[in-house]
Amino acid sequence: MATSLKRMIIEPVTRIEGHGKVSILLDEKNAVREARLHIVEFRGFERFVQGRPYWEAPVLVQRLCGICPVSHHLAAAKAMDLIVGAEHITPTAEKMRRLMHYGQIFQSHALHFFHLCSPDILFGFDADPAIRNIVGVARKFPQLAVQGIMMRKYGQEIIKATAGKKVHGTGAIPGGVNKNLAIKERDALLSEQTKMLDWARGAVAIARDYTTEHLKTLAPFGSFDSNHLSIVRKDGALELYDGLLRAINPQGDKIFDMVSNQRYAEYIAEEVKDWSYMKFPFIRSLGPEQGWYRVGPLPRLNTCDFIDTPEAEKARKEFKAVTNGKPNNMTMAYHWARMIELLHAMEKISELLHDPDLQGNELVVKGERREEAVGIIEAPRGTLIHHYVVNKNDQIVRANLIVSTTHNNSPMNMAVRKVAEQHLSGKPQITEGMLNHIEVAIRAYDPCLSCATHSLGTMPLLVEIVNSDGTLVERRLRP
Amino acid sequence: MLVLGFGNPARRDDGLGPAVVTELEKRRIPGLVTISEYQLAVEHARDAADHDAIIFADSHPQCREPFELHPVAPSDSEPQTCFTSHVLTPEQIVKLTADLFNRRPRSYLLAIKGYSFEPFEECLTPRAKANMLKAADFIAEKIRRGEV
Repeated sequence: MATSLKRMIIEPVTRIEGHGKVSILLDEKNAVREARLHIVEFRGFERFVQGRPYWEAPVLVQRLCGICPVSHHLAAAKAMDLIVGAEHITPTAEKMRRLMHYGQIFQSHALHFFHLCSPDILFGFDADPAIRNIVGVARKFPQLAVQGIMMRKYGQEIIKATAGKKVHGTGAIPGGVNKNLAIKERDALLSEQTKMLDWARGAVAIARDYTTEHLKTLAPFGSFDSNHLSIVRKDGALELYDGLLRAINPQGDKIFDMVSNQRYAEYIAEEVKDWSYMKFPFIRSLGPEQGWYRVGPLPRLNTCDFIDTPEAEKARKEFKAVTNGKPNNMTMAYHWARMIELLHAMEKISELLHDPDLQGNELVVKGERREEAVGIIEAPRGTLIHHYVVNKNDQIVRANLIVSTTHNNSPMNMAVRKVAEQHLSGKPQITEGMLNHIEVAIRAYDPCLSCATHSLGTMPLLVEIVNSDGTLVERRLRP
Repeated sequence: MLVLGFGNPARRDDGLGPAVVTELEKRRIPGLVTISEYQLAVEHARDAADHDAIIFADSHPQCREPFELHPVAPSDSEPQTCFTSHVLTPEQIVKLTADLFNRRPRSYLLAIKGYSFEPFEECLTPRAKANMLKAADFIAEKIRRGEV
């Protein structure tokens, strides 16, 4: 029977960061036997920082990624705050970092929705790949494309004003920040805020209407029950910068709650599987089979009790109404949740820009030196954990980083399998549109695997269909 | 005139684009605006729209030594899909600039020959550095003569 099996490889997966490969094993009737997402995750940066002085960490760890460097910058800075004994940084420092973080969330969510997700929802999953891309969106929906670009640019300008540079900034340092927000910088950002808020509201409406109007199709698409994890504020509010860990089950019951960041390892473990380079995190009390969970915008809206900005809270209530207040386990609902967070981030940005603390001059505090610390932040793609041990000579001797995409490893594999079963299984011929369904499910998680060089003349998209004995049946480049 | 260098300096010669930008900045060329980025993204279409001419500078493992300069034209067809998602090509940037902002800056790709793309090596290889300096000389002279 083995020789009648067929293995299909989608490599690399387009429009996700880095290098991903999907393999689907089909039997003689084209029924899906196995579907997996293989991610070539490079964990070398944990070794890279060993031996380096701790104060370099917030700058060094960003260099792996050009997409979400601010999240690594801030998670490392939060850990290093504790290393230098800064239990509580100054209001100016915290608000500068929050502004930087909301800028990052805003630009990242806008980029994902308008650039990566919109081609699928505007043209359809089966549309011609020649038009199902950002250039196609620009041609047919120029106003929307311009909004996406300008929102991304606005978020980048916030990052530049708070971190010093748009990519790989230096604004957060152990114990605080190295600059405040100049009046000129503030006013430049304020001049655009009304327009950005309007566009954010519009983006929520697009995502909401798309999801509710296509609910019958989207609800089962790559969907499954799962646990959900994020940090939340002490009062249960959505919290992206600094909170306590909460995990819930598919029904919304709490698995653990209000767990200190420093104790994450007592609650979360990582499993290794022989077919993947990337680890599979799970909740210890449930074990690897039952304990895997999702992170990111969808789980954050599931775990939080409310959102502390009025328009996003109103949008959250509409979102929750779809599932009668219960956790939403629809993979495609990530997009709607992401846009609610986009609106929340813009509301927070607007609030912060009116706060005079941003022009304060108390930037750094220090206290009693520690040797071990954990910094956790909600990155655009989900929970990001940085854990460091620093010796008496100020050198980092151990680092463990669990990135959002690693948390989502099991769920993304589950989504791939579900979609393969739903849309490929038993079909006489596998079309490009069918393969794109797999990518649509992966893209909902907005995975970021930006660990590869991008120099010109490198890899195109390759699809291979191989017999189980390794014989190449078909090979094609897309598009 | 905008020179937009892109690449990851933490991966040896992948950082040739940002390196040539740094080199050109040292020369204080009147009218030259520079941007150094990790990779090309949609917002660079807006940056390009503000200029009459743009040079995209990147490393290239296969181009001729020490570098090549080619015109970049907006293409109606989708360029070959890259393996990273948010990454766009110079052709796509130019296309978006024309479609969305109705601007068509003269556009060029400066491809500088690179040799090693190892992760977490922050210096250029000596041969790549030599190529980059030659490219900077060439571009500086072209700009001074108004030939781009």
